[in-house]
Amino acid sequence: MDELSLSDDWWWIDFLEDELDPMLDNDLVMLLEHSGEDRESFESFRLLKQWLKESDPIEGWPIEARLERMRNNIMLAIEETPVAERPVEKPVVKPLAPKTKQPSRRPLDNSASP
Amino acid sequence: MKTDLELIQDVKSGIKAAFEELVQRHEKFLMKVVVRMTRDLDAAEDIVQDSFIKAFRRLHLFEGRSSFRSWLYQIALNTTRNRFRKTNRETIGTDHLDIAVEGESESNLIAVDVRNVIQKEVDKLPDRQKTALSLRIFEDLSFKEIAEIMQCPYDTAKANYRHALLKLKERLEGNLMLKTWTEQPRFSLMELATNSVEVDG
Repeated sequence: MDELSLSDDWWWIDFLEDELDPMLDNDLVMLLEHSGEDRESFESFRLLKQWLKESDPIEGWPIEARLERMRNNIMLAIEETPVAERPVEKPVVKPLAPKTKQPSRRPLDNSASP
Repeated sequence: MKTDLELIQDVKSGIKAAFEELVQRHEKFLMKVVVRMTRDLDAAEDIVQDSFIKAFRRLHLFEGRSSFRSWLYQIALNTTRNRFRKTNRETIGTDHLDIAVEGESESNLIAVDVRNVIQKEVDKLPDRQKTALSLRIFEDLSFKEIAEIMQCPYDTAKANYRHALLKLKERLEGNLMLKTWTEQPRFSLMELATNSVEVDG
């Protein structure tokens, strides 16, 4: 177990969040059983999470009362708005290559012809 | 019950009432995350309302590659940022922190103080750590959903959460007020023992 450095705080966080590889779960339970230091470490994260949950800054804020009014406003606002359609993608038209100037033909020199 | 994608399809085909169902499904989540960002109910109500209206107007652009909820979250986040930019408000105020706590009992007052101490420390965290933390702790989202909302890989979302928790642990561990609070009966060792992993075999 030592080579896995299970005392690392990240392991305890993952364990707390049920995000640990199940293969390692038993190892951590063993550590909790036998190591006071590890137990303390795990408990500090567990308590911290609990404190955080209980300190939600908006817990108890009267948001429910506003939701219905907001929903009505939204439905009123979209009443007149047509449902937008996905713009039809125009086929990509490659620009025509600039015309290369053809070398002007020399007027036939018929002098050499037999 | 129809899925979000089915409702979106209904809206796209002209059934506007389906949008109301979508609003009902996600309004509470969106309101809570925006209130947490703004700490201002009126501003949050405006922002969430605007976000839903924008979502309706842009629904044709939603392709279903992410969940509707995380798409909405992105719209709300941008709307919040724009609102703050317009009002030149650089930081989120904490003046309204105590609004929900009523009563004058000593335990309530301690609870208010403890909340303030914790929230001040949470507010000091970098934005992405704060987002990961609040989506996990307050909204109980999985790291997969958090990653989708934060538009980052799964491991990054988890790393942000871990860093946040580690920082808070370091900063709050020595706080005497928290120790007092912890020593109240509800945090007795008995309670800890029953709630934590059973270690007695």
